Amino acid sequence: MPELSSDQFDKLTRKIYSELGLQFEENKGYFLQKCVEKRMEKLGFDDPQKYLFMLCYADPDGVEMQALANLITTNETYMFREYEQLAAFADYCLPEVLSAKEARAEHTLRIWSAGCASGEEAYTLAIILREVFPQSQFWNCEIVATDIDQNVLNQAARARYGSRSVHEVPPEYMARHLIAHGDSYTVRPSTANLVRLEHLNLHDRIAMRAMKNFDFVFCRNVLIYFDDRSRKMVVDHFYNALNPGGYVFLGHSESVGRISTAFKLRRFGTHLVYVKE
Amino acid sequence: MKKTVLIVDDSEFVRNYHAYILQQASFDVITAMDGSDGLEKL
Amino acid sequence: MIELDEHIGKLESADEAERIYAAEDIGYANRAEGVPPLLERLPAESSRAVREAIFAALENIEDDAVIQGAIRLLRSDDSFLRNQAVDLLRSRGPRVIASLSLAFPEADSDQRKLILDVLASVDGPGTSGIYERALADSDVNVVITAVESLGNARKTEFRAHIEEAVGAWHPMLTGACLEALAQIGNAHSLEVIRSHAAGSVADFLLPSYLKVLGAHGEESDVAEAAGMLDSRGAHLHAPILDAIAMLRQRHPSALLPESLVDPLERIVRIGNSPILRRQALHLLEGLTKQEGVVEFLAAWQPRLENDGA
Repeated sequence: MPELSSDQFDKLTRKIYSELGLQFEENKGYFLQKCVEKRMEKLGFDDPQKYLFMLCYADPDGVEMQALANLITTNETYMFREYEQLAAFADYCLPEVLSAKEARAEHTLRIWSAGCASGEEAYTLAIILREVFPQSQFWNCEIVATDIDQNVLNQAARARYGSRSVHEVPPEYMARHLIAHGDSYTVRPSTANLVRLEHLNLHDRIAMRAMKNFDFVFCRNVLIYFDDRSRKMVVDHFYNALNPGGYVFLGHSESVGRISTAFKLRRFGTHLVYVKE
Repeated sequence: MKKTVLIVDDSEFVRNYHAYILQQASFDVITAMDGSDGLEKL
Repeated sequence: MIELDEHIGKLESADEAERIYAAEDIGYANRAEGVPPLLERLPAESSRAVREAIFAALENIEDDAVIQGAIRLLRSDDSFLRNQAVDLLRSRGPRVIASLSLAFPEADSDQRKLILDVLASVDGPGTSGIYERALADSDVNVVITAVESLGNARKTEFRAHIEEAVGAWHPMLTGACLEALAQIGNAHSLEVIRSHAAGSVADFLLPSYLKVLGAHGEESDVAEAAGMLDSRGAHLHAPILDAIAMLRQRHPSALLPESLVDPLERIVRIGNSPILRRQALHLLEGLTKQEGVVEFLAAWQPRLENDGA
């Protein structure tokens, strides 16, 4: 199976960015190569040139693009996933929003974890809040975690995870926020009680319009599985759900700007974040 | 020190064409396909 | 319908969220009457979010008035509106070709180019007529856009036409022709290009030329590409290696010259991108008869696989 040439790699990453809003750096070349090879094998292509042409010009409903997307996005979920992005949230965005609220004597903070699945992200945000913002116990703080699947919501309600889910949790936080029972870990009630679980279908526009007054929306590695139009609709709803000055976080390689230009891009060091002005 | 130029254009050919000329003139080049892409790469 | 009128009224609301919902709801109603108010709201609307909602709504309304409205927007002074109009037309698919065909002759050069931008993503009967006119356009930007699209869409029936344009006075047009011929050309196209180049291809056209070489050259052309590795700047290494790799793919028995070993090893060691370095490594596998190459490969293969540093 011939390797992707530099030119083909460029074309492929542009196409992926254009269709899925996902950015791939050159150091992911080998990984992309392997995913493309799998798809080519499955479909019986032996020439990357032909596969690329099909992807760009003969995939009208985006079916192949989606199949490739499923391969190039890793579905595993665990706490403190995409640490760098969470650091940008904790170090820059959260303090900025909190001090603006303090100046207005507003003591409410609302965060939405959209497509929360089994809840790792929501509880991660809860830990961050308790750590970075101890005042949270005196404010009216809430992390609303929503998902369309009632089964995973039930799982999230137990707030109990195996060691794979917690391997990225900073050690100091483990003792403070997680209770160990042998091989499993439960989030301490004093942290977990920040999270409120709710059933919600991101495609349900009436339910989505009811989501309002959030300061942060997290929807990471969920929208890659949506088609163009739905993805845009969901992000437009996030815009309306946010207070002015609020931030939206998609997955690290997902480009908000590609989906909607209503948000403004801000840079904190090497981190890119998107804000509703 | 080499200076870097950001080229933003939706046409792949236009990006490449200008990239080659600038690289020939010893600039480093980054390319982007639209405004969002460009801002993210700045 | 009363409900639709209510939504239309809310397009003027002072509240941004209400205007967004109004646009969305007009879109969901999917009625022709919704189109003019949406289009009329655009110039006055200052919020980017609302403007985007208006275009999303227009995308949802199936009536042909949307096509006509979008074509009119191609004339706007506002670049955001023009770009959104192009996207809107693209989303309609081949249905727009007839209207674009009618609009093309009356359009100014900017609009003609934008119409071609739409066609870059839309194919169907009727596009050939537009492309033929575009190839003879008085504005070289329009011609270049057309050539680029034809190459990408693999419209081989335009090969001869593009071969003729290779000798153009405008270097960017020549470049566009080379890129297109890499996709839809053949061995004859390579000859035509060489006859115009008269011995040396301009530096900035080299990458495009190399694509044609890779796609349509013979075994013996490997030497031409290989020779450039030492004499040209590092930024050309990627297209040169691409060309050699492609020639080998098409001619598996093609011999790689010994002189390639040193430059390839250098690229593996200090090449400026992981892909380039892996590609150089791959090509070295065709040179294992040369001294030291087997050991070099054994040392470097594990380092460069798996996106290692």
